Amino acid sequence: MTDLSVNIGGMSMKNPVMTASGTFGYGSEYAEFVDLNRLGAVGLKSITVEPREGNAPPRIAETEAGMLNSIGLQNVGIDAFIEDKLPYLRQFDTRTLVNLSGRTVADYVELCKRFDETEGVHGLELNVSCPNTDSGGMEFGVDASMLGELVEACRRATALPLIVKLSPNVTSVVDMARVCESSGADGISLINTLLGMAIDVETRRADLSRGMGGLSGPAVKPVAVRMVWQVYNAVSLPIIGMGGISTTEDALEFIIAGASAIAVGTANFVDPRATMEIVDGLESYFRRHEIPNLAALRGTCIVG
Amino acid sequence: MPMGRDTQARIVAKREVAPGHFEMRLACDAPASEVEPGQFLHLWLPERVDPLLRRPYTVYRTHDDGFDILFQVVGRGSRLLAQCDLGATARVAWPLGEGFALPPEGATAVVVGGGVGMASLYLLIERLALASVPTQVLLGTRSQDYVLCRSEIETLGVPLRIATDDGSEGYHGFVTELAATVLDEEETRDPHVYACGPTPMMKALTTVVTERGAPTQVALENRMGCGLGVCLGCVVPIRADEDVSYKRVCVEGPVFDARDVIWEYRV
Repeated sequence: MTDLSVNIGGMSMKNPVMTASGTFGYGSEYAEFVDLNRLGAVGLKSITVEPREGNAPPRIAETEAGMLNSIGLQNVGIDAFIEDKLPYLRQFDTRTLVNLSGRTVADYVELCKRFDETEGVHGLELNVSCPNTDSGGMEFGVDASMLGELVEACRRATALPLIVKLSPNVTSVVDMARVCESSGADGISLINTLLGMAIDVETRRADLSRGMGGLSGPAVKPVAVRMVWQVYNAVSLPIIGMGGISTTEDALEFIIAGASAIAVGTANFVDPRATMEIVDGLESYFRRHEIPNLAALRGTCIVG
Repeated sequence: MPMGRDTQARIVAKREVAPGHFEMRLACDAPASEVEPGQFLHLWLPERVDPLLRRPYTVYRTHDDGFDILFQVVGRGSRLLAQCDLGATARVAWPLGEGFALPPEGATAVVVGGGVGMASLYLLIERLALASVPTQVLLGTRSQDYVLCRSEIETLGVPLRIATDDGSEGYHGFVTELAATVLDEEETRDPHVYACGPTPMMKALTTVVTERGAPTQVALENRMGCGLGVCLGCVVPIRADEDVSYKRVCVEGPVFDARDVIWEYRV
């Protein structure tokens, strides 16, 4: 009997397969393709205090084995989310991880407090790494002292499992992870998108309206695996690994590098059933290798 | 949210109908008859990570056992598709988006296509003919060699007028100028206009139809990520009452009221 269950800082999940924020809407959009009951957790599109209309188009551009996005946190805001979107998710036997973005510490604290008393929310993920707005929180994710202050304030505002989604656009992701650990976070998500850019050489115009955007997809996977491995070896917080996962083998790579759970992101756009195939694929791998549970595989990477 | 599904399809026929333009038949075990004109399918050549994303193609024609698509080779995705061998398999999510609405009883239809934009309009022309709506088709192309769907439209008995950039056939000039002439003709009663083509064409056409008060539906073709309304990558600014908001081409579109589209941002 294979046991794929896992606990991420207090959020207990039946399996380690999640969806990455911003790639799965509010859950209902993919219901025709995915049995939400079979997901360990649903990671939801970033929520802000007020609704946001997002960036001007063009917002996406395909690159080699990847894509750039600059959506700009378009979302309905917390009131409409709780009223219109969350009730749908409550009918499923899964966990919901709500992703929060803000301009100020006070924004994040308000969101934490509101969700702390909202039924059907099982964990909070602080987005301190969105590269696509002038005030999307990335300033928190690239400055250790600001990050520590934010995480401490959020910690005081909620008893829910508190996950921090870190930016890869830093010199030392390990330093940022250590700050999270010492400030009271329950877990770490790695990685958000890598800041990138693409240019049309005929028109000399940047492919995205804001010039820069976040790179995701298979192209970023080795960077993400490396960061998960580094952080796993430096801090004891559980890690949700993500960045270019589209197959079972990709997911296993992250677990062996040290991830306790994994999230599928851009691959959802290409194959809405990717998460289901990974759930099946993990079960079969653990059976085939007679590995009793996730902990027995996690962080077992042999180097040298 | 339209009912979507993601099915396996097999490429069973392929034909170069004009230089760089391909007609391709996709067979799948699904009833294609429920597709509305203007709806699209999202096609993926599986196991590929480069190019990564699916490609949206309007359903060009339907059959009992699948669809045809009509596309121009413009980039890596369409080039790879055109190079696929017969028998190759693809995954298609369909039918996606909101299609065209047929005109009210007593109205006439003026269908304006620019180049490969015809791919988004042919199924509509078929349905208009089936519903006995008096219809004229205007097609703008570079030259005579790029006239798409000619025999198909003639078979339906629908009149086709052509405008070419080089004057090699029909009206020498823009199809939007031809559209203005047709809309001003007396026998064009209560015209409802349908269009798909390059952005400058549709922008110019919007001016023509707005001056004449003709209701106009346009099909937009944007870069898409997921095709299912999730990624928010394909949005366009659309007027609603006094307000402007971003609408997803894949879900709220690809067909919009021409007068609601803010064309300026994409020049």
